[in-house]
Amino acid sequence: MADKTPSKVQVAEYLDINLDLEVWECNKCSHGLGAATQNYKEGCLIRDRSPEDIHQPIIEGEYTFAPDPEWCRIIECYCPNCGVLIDTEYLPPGHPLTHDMEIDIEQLKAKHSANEGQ
Amino acid sequence: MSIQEVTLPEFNTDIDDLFARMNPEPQTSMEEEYADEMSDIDFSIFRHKLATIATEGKEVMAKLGVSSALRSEDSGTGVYTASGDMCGAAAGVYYHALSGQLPIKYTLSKWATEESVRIEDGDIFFSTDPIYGATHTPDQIAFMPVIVDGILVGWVSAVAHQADVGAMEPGLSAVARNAWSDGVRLLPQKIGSNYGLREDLVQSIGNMTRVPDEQVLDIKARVAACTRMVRRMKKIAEDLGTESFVGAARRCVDDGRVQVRRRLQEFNDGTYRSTVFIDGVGGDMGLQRIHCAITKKGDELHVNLQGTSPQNPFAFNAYASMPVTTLANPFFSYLLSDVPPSVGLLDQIKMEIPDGTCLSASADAAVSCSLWPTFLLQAAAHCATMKMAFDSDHRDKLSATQSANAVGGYGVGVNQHGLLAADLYVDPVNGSGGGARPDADGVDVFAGIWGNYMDTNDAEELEIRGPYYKIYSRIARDGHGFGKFRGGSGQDTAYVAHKVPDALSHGTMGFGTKFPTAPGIFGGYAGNTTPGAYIIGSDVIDRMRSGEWDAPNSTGELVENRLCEGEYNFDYATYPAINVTDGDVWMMVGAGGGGWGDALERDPQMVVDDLRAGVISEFTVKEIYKVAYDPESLLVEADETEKLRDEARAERKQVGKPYNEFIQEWEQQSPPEHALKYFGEFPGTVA
Repeated sequence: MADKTPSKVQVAEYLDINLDLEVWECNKCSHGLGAATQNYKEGCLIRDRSPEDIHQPIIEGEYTFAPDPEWCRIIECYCPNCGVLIDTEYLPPGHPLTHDMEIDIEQLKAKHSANEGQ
Repeated sequence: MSIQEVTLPEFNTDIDDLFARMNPEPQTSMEEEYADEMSDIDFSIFRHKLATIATEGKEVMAKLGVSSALRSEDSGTGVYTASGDMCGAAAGVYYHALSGQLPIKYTLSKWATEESVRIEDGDIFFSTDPIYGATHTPDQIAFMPVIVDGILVGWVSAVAHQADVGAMEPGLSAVARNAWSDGVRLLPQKIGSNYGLREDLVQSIGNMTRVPDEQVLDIKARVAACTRMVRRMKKIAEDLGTESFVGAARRCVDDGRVQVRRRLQEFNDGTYRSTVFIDGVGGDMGLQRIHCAITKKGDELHVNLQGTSPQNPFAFNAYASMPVTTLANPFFSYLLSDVPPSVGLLDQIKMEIPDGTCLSASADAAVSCSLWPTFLLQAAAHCATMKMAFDSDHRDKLSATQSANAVGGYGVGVNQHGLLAADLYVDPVNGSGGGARPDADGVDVFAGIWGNYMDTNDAEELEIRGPYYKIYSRIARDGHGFGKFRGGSGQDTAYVAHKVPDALSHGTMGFGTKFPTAPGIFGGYAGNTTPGAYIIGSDVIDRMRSGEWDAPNSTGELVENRLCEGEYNFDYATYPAINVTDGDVWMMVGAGGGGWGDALERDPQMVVDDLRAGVISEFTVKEIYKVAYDPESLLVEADETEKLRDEARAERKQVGKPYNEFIQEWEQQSPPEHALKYFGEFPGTVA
């Protein structure tokens, strides 16, 4: 576990939870991303990309070797401050974004306060 | 303990009851009395012996079997307590061993007291029914009791995928409409006694398939594995005493329960969700959603699949006992990879599946391709559990998701030797790319998502068995998810038919053509998409004879540059059986695992190394990784790279929209209507 300060816990590659403030923070630049009880994506910049931006089509036609942009979009979530790509989702157009991490803050506090005491 | 003492209540197909049967049975009085008799050291040795027995059984099966899937270890062997709880296993595929519990428990329930059947030393049982354990009809199970001095002390099983099971299509049938089109479904039943098979019954099972000899030989391979394991188990029970053996076998299960509780306590409480999408249902294309919400609290895990799409009218459905076994790979091979496998490891998992989904199909549903929706559940569960475990001392066990495209092919017909033969081309499936790791790339040509310990086909062996040969076999270019660490690439290969006596029936099954199946994690991109592709009437063989054939570096290069003559066809990953003959070529592009982290954080030198190795394209270097390099020397231009990456980050901040603004526009969109015909309500609600 890579705590930068006692009050901060890294819970994902680019996400910390500030236990004192109970907010999500970017692990790269410490920019706040909203209440830790909410979806961190609400504090991100969001972009809808064609999958062909990332997965290069090889041939033309219905089956291009790339995802079909009418069926599949890539949703990218960026830190508004440093621009790191925090999360990607492959979703059908219009499909709700996933609330992928809903961490029990009280248990997290208790766990890390117990760890500090060891 | 007598056999009657472990006889279980009547077995039925009720969903809740099936769940219960995947969990450990109540402890018997003998198990309780002798559970702690052994010292910890003796118990550790005992458990190791069980693992060794299972491994020996698996090797016996692989060496004696003839089906390609069986020989490439799409298989598992299990050892069980007297009540049928898995207390040790060898993989291949762990869920094959786990699923062996159900036919054993069915047999205890139905046949132990049935005068015309009974359970005796040396009895041989067999089952292919997906309701009672077989994950789909091709996953056939042989199992035997271990009886010492008249006391039932345990069971063994040997499970492996069979290439043809007499379904409405060769191989397995993606277009099957109901359970009666799935191929041979045998209830758990006795097919031999006194360590000998009933040849009439075995031949009859063979007679239900397109390739009777293979079926018969592979039954015998499974039974040989079981016989070997029974012999080993009996020896240990005789040496230790039956009571000690029974107590220690149960202790394996209960120790697993303790270990998993301890491990779960180390992870953060919360709810972790993942949603993935299938782009076809076997006989048709269309989106289906697999949603998985994993709530971890203390030492319990609750898995809720609400939001998963409804049962579909084809064969991409699974019975409700399957989703539990599906979790074997993320748990046994990742989060608990340091703990000996037993069903105790899944004991803390409670699963909630609404009725009528493609993962809780009705008993009359076709399920011969049940694995495919469960592969996606594995992908979703993998992603969610990795997020759960990130903040722990077990980060080294994590990865992004392996590919779940699982595009495999089959060929059934008379081979070049005049024999009926059926084969699965499992290379692109068993050779799928692994997920990226926190500190390393995923493994190229790793394994199918359902079993980390399988192998690909031996190419020469395949060519001897079937009227075809490989014309190239590569690590797929751009065949993985990009990221700070990339996913492993799958195998990219092609076969040409050669010396086909008449015609070979060939087709494929899988998905991930329009929608990828291996999500990236923490900003990593998903693995690649793979269509079905074949060339009718190619001149590849003539070119090889005249020395004019240069094997391409990828299927992409072959089809982009039309490197041979012929009629090029592209289709969904599951295309129905076609007849192929000499010169026809089918290409199978394996898919890769998801990436981990932001691609702009990838070491530029690793990017250029991948380019040099042909694992990624120039497009990917420039457009995804934003690496500047000298095209001749392939040396990284560090300053220019940093500039390009700064520009890319600035562009993100410029183009990205605040959440609420984005959602307002996003919610106005939807996929085309024809893509939603099997989806259920769109978007509907999820757990």
